[in-house]
Amino acid sequence: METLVDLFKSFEARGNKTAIIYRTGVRRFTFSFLEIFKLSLKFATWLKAQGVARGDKILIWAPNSPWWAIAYFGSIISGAVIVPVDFASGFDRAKKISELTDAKLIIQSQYKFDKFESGKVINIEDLEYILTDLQPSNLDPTQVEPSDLAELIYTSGTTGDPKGVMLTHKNLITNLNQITGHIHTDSSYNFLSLLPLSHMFEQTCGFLSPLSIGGSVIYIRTLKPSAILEAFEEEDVYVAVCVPRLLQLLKSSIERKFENKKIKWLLRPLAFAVRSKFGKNFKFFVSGGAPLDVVTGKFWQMLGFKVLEGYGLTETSPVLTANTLEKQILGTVGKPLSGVEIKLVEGEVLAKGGNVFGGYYQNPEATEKTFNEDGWFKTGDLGEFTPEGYLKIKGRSKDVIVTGAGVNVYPSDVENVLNNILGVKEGCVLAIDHGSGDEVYATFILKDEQYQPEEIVQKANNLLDPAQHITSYSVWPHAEFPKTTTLKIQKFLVKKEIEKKQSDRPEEISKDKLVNLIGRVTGKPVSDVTEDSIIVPDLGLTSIGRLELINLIELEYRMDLDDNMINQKTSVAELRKTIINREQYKVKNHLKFWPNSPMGRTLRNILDIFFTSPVFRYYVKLSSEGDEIFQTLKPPVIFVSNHLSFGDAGSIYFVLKGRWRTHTAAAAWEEFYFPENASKGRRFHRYVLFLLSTLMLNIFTLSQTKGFKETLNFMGKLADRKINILIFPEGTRSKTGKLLPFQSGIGITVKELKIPVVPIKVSGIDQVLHVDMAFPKRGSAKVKFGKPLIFTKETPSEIVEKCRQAILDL
Amino acid sequence: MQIGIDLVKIKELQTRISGDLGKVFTTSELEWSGDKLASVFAAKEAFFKALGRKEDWLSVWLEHNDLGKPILKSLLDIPDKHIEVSISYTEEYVVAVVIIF
Repeated sequence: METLVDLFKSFEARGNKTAIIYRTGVRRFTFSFLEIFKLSLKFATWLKAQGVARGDKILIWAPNSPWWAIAYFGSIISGAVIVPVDFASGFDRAKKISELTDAKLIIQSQYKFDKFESGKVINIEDLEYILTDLQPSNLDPTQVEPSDLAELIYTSGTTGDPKGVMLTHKNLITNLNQITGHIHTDSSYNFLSLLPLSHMFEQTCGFLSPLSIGGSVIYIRTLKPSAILEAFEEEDVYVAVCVPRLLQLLKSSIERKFENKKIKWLLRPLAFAVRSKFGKNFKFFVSGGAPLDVVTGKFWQMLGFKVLEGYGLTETSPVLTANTLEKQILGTVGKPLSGVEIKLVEGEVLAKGGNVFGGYYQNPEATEKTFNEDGWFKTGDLGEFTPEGYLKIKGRSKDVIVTGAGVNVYPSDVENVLNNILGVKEGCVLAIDHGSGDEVYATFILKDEQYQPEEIVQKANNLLDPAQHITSYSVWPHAEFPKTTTLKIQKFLVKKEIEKKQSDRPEEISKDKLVNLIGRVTGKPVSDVTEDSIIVPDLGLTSIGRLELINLIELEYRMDLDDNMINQKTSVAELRKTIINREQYKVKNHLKFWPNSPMGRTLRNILDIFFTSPVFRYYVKLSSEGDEIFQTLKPPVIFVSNHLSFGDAGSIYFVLKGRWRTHTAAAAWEEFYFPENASKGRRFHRYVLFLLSTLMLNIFTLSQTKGFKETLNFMGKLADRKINILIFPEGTRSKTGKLLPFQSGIGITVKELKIPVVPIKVSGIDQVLHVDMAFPKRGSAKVKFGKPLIFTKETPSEIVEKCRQAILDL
Repeated sequence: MQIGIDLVKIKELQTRISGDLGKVFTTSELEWSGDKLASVFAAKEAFFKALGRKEDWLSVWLEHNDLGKPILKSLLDIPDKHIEVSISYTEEYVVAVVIIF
């Protein structure tokens, strides 16, 4: 294997083995190696048609997903160069990089406000539609050489000195082989992806490495903590590639749960229970990007998990050293990978090897500075070797800050902006840990006391990329920063003083984080934000501000929040309590999954044989038309039917055969089964009815008033298990038999679930049980199935109209 | 009859909301450009104001009729269910008014 194209070729032979699992929050999609192979070839066909040639740059500014992988491999096999940009980055940074690299194509995501509007650009979400009708291209084996450029990654300096790291196929393949040789995994391993693919660490360790050994990668559309935990519980995760901050946050959320119940001392004896939350096969975390503190490492060891810390830089593709599965020494970054040479010169770590990059794109000066005269790459980090030959990193002279989202923030970029804000004499940006990992901390000297530090930080943040935002700050209390003879700020001294101040008043600092966030969002001085302040009226939190605050809290504390949690009456103290206790905002609903479990199905089948079917068939003589669609139809589908009678669901249910019958769930209005302003007797009667319908006809409730997202997720879960959904979009029974207007919900449901719709027309059943009849009489009914409808880019209303028309046409 | 209004500074919305847009906008709304998304945001906010309570962002969404006039659709059970929306732009701002009657 010499190039990424060779790696790509291996996918075909792996066939139907799962390569990627994608959890969108609503649905769970799987992609086999063969599918990734074919779709990438189709994308190559499309690229060719767009005139993309060897050496052209393709910028990918999108969140992790299978489509990222397809865009990546499709481009790579076309000989193009990938320019990955952090999705957390703003439009300005993406635009700057696209200009610097003269990108031929931009692949962006619709999940961003500010998008590229002109030029050659596509939304990654549209890829599946773009590729549908294309033919896979042929692989041209001669096209890509090991020395060809594969990727161009901008680390820092988009505000000043642009540093685009040039990595060749050889660099990447060398490091890939080094890693898989150093840490042994096999094709049974599932990797949970928690870091952005724009990060080399994630790309080599969490993407190329599992795919090269035939393992699988699990992507989650939004990295909410609940989604991460769900993935651990429901997917068979073996490995998770992390940054230390994430490990710290996971650690504190586990500890918090025990602390809240005042049973922290039970954590050690109950380690097995915590361990089981990560699934039965979870083996280890890989930690990189920033130094892992020993306490956090020990915590995970105590739980019984290995943490393999490694070290490297984007410039080295990226891994230089790592601990192994066989032996880990906490506080060290392990031994050099085979083929990597490391030496220390005046304490600085210097590296050589096939994985070391060739230079910065169009920046010979920066390139020259980074290599010494013998061609060793100067990492800028300080280290020492333990007697066993394990490398210990003592300090990182580049001071890169790795945020919880796994994005690298270079202090010099932030300082460039800060130093240009009116009122700032000089600023210094560094990583400060307030107890939950490194944050972007700014301290600055004011030109004059009339300038407000809050305003300065706000102005700076407005100019900075969202990923680089300053989250805490202080005014430096002295007239100058401590400096070297060459007038460079001695950051370690600055840091020492700030940390000392913090340890004197730890209480105040940890409290400050939320107050800082609220101050930042509302634009109010921190001194105005008191515990009693009611956030909306007192501090003037706007609707945009509320959403921003919730997003920031989710990011900072890695927890799920609903923005309904901050209402007109919420005080700072109440919000703090919610965060500290990690309370979940839950909507109460009546969605139950058990009728779709094997047990629920068995029970339903038994009832069918002895009760439901004989009774139903006593009253109704059933006939059907159009069943031939089932010969080629694949579940799951949404059945959409007209609504004449309570007997509709039963009629459809009993004409369906085999698996189609046992694996179809019907939606019913929650407001019918759970009327709010009804008498006790009526409510009880309806509740019994609800239980019986659930048991016999597998109904679930749709709410017209609340919690659409929960219902949607529930339907997504049904669809994932190939269970069909029956919906009556009129929302009420038609008295005249005429098709009523449809509720709008069906359009959005179809759109989000992405499954075909089968129109159904039921007739005659209103003679058996009409809306106005209290008791049924004997009669016959006919169920007619229409051809399945497949929707792609239609709007919800168009979907509604097409579904309705399809029923009218039956 | 209930009425709600919301004024959004487009740039402000775009720079401040960087989290998961899927929480606020439906899949079809997300296909639109940033300015248009700001108008969707304003329309949804105005709708909640008219309704008198905040609900799930995805329970209401914006579409257009054949003439290009914006129409607001909702899953929520509103008596009579007549919703009217009107949107206006300048370069910097977008304003939306919603009437439920």
